[in-house]
Amino acid sequence: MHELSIAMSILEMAEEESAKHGHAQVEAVHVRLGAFSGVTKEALVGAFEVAREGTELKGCRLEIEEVPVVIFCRRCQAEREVMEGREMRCGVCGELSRDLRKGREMEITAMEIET
Amino acid sequence: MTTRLVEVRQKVLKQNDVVARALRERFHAAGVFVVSLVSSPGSGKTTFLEKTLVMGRQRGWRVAALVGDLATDNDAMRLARSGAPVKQIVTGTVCHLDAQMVDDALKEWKLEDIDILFIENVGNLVCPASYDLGEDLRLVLFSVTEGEDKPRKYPTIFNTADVAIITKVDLAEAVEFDRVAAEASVHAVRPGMEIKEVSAKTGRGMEEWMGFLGRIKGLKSKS
Repeated sequence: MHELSIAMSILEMAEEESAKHGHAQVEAVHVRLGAFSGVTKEALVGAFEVAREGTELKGCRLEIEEVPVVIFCRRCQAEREVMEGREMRCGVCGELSRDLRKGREMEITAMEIET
Repeated sequence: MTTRLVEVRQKVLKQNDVVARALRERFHAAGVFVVSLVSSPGSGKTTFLEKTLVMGRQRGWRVAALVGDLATDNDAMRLARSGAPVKQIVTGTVCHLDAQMVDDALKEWKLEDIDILFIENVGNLVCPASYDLGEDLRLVLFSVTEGEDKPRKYPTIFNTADVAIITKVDLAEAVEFDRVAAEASVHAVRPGMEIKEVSAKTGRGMEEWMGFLGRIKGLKSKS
């Protein structure tokens, strides 16, 4: 369960951003989360709700955009989502690929700040 | 009051990435090859590492190990029997090592005196996947008793690792371990991944593993 420490990092970054804007209220933090980030959405949302209590950001929402695992398929010559089960197989033709293009993301993309 | 959308674009673990990058630069400058080990609890990481340290020393390699553990120093004591420098990182309730813990643990060591540094992560196949420790090579271990489909259950950690080590192969027959199915499972989540089979107990596969390690480290065996 490392989602709690991840949630706390997100809150710290939100607090830093808030300070840059004269300690404005942060309404929401937008996060992109890859299927290979090592973090699950449900656990992160739960951890965020716990972590924000007692901070200035207790009303802050967490908006998560999930990013599927995308590989480059040599047979299709295109970027493709992998098959279900997160195997490194092209979701269209089934070819295995070592070329991971998306899925490791764990990043803050934007924040909604009251002005 | 209006709400404004401010673009941020920052990695959540940027702090860890910064420390890991600095570590990697220091390791390279000092000529240290760094190997990390991840697995679930009880897969035989410590036994495998102990044997690796002993065999490494027999070859004249200067090996050392950092070992992460939630509470006890049992693993560190076992590894120290090899005669190699060993240091414990007690993580408390934290389920993984991060780059800062590695950096802190290395404070009293002279990196120039080490050829290969092993970092044994906390037994856990989920959390360690997200944290770069500055390593050159990440090993993921699983034992024949854990089932052939382990990689498919934990694709993220297998996908971030470089080499899969199948441990306790002396028990393979007893548990009817299906080698072909296990390799297919590894390659489904990490196509082309190098797989080594070992038994640290009987020594089977260990010479081959050490040879492989020596080749990628570029060391010549002195024994």
